[in-house]
Amino acid sequence: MIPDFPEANAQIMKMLNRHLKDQVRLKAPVFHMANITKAHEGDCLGNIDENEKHTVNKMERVESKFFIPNEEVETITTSDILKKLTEAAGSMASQMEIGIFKQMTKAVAETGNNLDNKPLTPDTLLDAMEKIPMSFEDDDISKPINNVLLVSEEGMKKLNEAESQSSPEEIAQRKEREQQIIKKKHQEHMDDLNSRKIVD
Amino acid sequence: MDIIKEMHHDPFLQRAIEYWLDSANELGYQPLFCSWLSLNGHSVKYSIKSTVIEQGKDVVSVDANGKPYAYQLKGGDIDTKRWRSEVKPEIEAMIDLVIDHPDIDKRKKHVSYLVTNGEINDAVRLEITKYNESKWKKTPLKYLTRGDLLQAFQGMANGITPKDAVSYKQLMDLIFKDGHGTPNISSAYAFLKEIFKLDEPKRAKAEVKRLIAAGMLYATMIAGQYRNTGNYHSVVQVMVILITLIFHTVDKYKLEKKYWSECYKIIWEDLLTSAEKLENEISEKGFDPSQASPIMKSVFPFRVHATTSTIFALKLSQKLQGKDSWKTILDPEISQKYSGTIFAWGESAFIPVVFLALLLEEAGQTSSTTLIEDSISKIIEKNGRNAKEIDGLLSTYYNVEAAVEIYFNLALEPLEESFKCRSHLIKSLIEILVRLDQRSFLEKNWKEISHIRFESFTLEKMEDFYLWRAKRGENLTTYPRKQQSWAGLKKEAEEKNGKSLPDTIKKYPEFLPFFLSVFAHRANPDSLGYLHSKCK
Repeated sequence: MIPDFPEANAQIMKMLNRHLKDQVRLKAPVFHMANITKAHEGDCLGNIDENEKHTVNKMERVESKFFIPNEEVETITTSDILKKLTEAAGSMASQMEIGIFKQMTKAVAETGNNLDNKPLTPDTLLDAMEKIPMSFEDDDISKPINNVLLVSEEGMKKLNEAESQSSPEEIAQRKEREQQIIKKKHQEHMDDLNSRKIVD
Repeated sequence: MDIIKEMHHDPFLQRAIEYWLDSANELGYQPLFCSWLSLNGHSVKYSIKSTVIEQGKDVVSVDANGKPYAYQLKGGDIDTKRWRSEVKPEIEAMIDLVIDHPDIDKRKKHVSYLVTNGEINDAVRLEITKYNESKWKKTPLKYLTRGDLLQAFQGMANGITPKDAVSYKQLMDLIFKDGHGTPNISSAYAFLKEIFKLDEPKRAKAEVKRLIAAGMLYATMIAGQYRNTGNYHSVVQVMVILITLIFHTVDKYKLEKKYWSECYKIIWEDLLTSAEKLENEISEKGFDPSQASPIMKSVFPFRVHATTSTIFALKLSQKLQGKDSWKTILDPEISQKYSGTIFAWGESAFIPVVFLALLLEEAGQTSSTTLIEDSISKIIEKNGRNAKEIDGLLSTYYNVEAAVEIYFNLALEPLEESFKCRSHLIKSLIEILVRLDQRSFLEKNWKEISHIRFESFTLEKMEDFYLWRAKRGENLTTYPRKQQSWAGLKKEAEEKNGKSLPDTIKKYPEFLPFFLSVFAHRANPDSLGYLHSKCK
């Protein structure tokens, strides 16, 4: 056989894997917003919540096929390979995003934090803000740690339209309501903090 | 003594053993020599651990018939000059003086051996023969040289060799690693675990003795480079892996002591000796920054930390063995040497702090609680809800080697894990404080502590405790209660008495500090709670 360059090949594989990981990260933004923890051993993940409820989930495998048919071997180029990798990354990413949305939907159903199918408007955004907890950096009311809004392009367009069609009075009212919500959330935050203690 | 047994001739392994044996001195091959005696039915009575020999005898053993043997071990070739000036006087002492040991019948004449990993030249052999025919006629001197030792040690691996070329490469990589560094724990563990064949469901008990002997051979070769450079921290780490695998084998196959305890004793003595040598080195020289090249100054704190973690494990082990030598750590002059040697590069860094705290508590020093409180405060600072850094402290799954790679951006894979609002160690530290009745600190800090999730790993089988990484088991995240009952905390803390620990490690608790210094991810409320209970 003619010689190969295994060490260079290994470096190239490393770069391709890096590309795959970067693509997955790009295409699964919600998944990657969560704190990543690595399972160094074991085959399942468990949770004991504050009410001592213990749930166990098997770890789910996310995989995708990366396949170069024989007939393409002669003519395939590096950019073709990268394209295939990107497609594989997309497939993996969508599995991960579906997975996390499934979990979020389940959590919403359990907590009742939903908006009963109301259309997305600046006012319903404020309704949502009222339902969910808010943290404050250094417990300072002036430093709310804003939650992340996930909305489709279409939804964002409608939201911006609704905002631009609002009168100055409506905008001022929403601003006032937002401040009230932040004040309320800060109080809830401080109450929660002060409730954390060693008892008896 | 029948050295040459039927064996599978493996030229590759022979070369590897030769390489190791030729670079070792007598202290380097002594533990393996003692193991080989044990494998041949001898009971090793004592083994001198320094270059000062007692009455000409480095090792004393008794065979299955009660016949005593004495051995003087040497390193390198013995020529006429060396024989006359150094060796012969010691041989005469060995032959003439009876073995002074309670287990040995002084009326029985002992057999004397000169052992060297080099060659004895012809002139010396002739002289020995002459003496054996005359003044040593009643107790002639026997000798074992390089070739004999090679055959003996290769016999220890008899049939138990790396399974394929990839495994051989793994062994070579381990043996040829730079002796100034630290062993690749995961690689050394994986290789030795293959030798112990722990994945097989059944094991003939008599075969276990051979497996342990083979494990000892390979572990000794892996530790060889570290021994040659006087890098005792790394020798200890290799021996910890070996003992861990022995204990795993014992617990998995429910082995009686007769199959393994002699060999364990030898390995344990070797581990202790290495740790004590490290301690003596620091006692004499301290941590001298000039040891580090100015270019590598930033690495020095990690080196110091690794050393301190082994020494603190030793002190706690000495305490658990009932030896007074643990008290040297209380000497202000000695403890001053260790001041500032531990820094929080990760949660594993707190494990030697826990060891020190348990020792100081035993000595009635209030600084013990301060150490635990400071550790918790550091975890809150780095991993808590208000932590400024994104990543937080590395979990106990990352050892100091991994920390160095991450710190200097050398890791092959970037760190993708975030440790914010989680901790593998904080629950253990909290329970230590609870057992010490230190409520006020926990009251003051519960607001922050309760935002940190307690991470742990639940093993499927008890003996999986010994595994470097277990395939099965639950990665458990526990959300602390916002309102935590003190009585509830006390009850939980008092229950942590080692019930999840395998039997053998509980029978030999003095090994546990060393084990946790290498297998830091097994430091959990139960294992540390057990140590705490044993210290009282």
